Amino acid sequence: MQTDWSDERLMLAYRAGDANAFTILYRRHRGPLYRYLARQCGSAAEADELHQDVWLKVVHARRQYEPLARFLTWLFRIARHRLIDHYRQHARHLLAHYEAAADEDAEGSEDWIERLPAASEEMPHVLHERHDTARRISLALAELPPLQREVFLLAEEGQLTLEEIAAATGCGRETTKSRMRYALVRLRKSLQDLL
Amino acid sequence: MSERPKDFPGDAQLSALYREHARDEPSVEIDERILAAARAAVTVPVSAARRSWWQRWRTTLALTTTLTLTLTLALLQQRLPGDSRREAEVAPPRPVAPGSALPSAARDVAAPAASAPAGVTGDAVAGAGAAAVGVAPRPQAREESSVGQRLAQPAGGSGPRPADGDTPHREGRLAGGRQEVVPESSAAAGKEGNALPAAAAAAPAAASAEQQTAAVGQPPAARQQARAVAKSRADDGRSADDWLEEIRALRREGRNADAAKQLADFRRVHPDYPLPEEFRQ
Repeated sequence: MQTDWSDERLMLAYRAGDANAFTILYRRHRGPLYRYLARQCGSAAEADELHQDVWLKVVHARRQYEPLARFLTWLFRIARHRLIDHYRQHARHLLAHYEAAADEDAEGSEDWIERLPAASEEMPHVLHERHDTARRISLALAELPPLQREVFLLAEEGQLTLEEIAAATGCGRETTKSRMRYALVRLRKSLQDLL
Repeated sequence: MSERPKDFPGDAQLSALYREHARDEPSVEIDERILAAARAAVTVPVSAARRSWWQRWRTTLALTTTLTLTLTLALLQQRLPGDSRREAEVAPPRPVAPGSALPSAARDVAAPAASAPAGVTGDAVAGAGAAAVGVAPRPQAREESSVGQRLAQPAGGSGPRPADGDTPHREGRLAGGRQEVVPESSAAAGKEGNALPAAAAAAPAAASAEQQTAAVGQPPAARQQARAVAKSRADDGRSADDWLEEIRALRREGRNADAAKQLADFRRVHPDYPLPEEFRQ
């Protein structure tokens, strides 16, 4: 059954011209990728656009695909690049944080993390449904610093390991581990009454 | 899903809570758009994949066929005028109907493929070839005879020089000439061996005489123009002057009967050509 195939095998089949392989691959990962993008950009409409762009990039880059790493690592790396392009166009202040964090150690990132604007100001739709649990989770995620949120989402939605997250984000393994730890502490604090 | 290392800073409770409430998904429209784009990217264009050899080559074949047909038709068209001319050359001159003017005979010669005179068609024309050739000179010979001139010339000089497109029957006439010098009238009569009805012979003779008279009566400019026209309207590639020269040669060889027939033919072809003095007798 093609549905039991690994992501990499499905992508190779699609590269060879099997459109059904792509359909299976897409249905398997459409939700996680969309949620990753939606949580990161904070707008459903923008998430739709980004989601479509990322999958079209996958379609166009199929000939260059080689199963050197997990498909999800490759997919989320593409998504992250597209997200940075989006920040470059629509949220340059966030882009500055991404660029600054590239050379920064996770332990030294507390300064700019504290300076981040409140997520509620950027995501009105999250504020609008504050009382729903799911919305509270979204809000808690939105309140995370982008890089911590990114690591958390890649781990939860992409099921990536520390090494894979490090590869996808271009950071070191220890930096990724620290960001993950900070993210979990903050989320637990925000959602304590729900746990 | 990869195995997570033991040092992975996970929180099972938090993870479960998150996954329980993470239900956001892209819209169906987005899904359809993406899947359609993915299918289109790997679908081989129908025009390239499913076209049979006939669909791929039909334009080339059609062009080749058209070109071949065009060339064949062009070659056939080139051959047709040549064939008609050859037929005209092979076919004997039609007899001049009594009472018809010489220019009409000239038109017949100028347009060999034209219809034969009424009452003379197909094999009748071919069968009457020799007679038809002989009919025209006879009145002229009589006229010459009536004038009393004898066209006796010493043999010698250059022989007859048939033109490139000269016809077999004409060649036959030239080759069949006799060396003896005889009066034109008696030669013509003796050679043909039959007497023509006086009425049939009288009209062409009169027409010929009229033509000659008219030609003589023309002003010098008109005569020169007629000569030029006759020159340009060469018969089988032979100019009027060349033809007259051949007739002179025949006379010099003593083949007066042939010369007379040639002269009669000449008059039919070039009715407006002003004859030199030596041929007006």
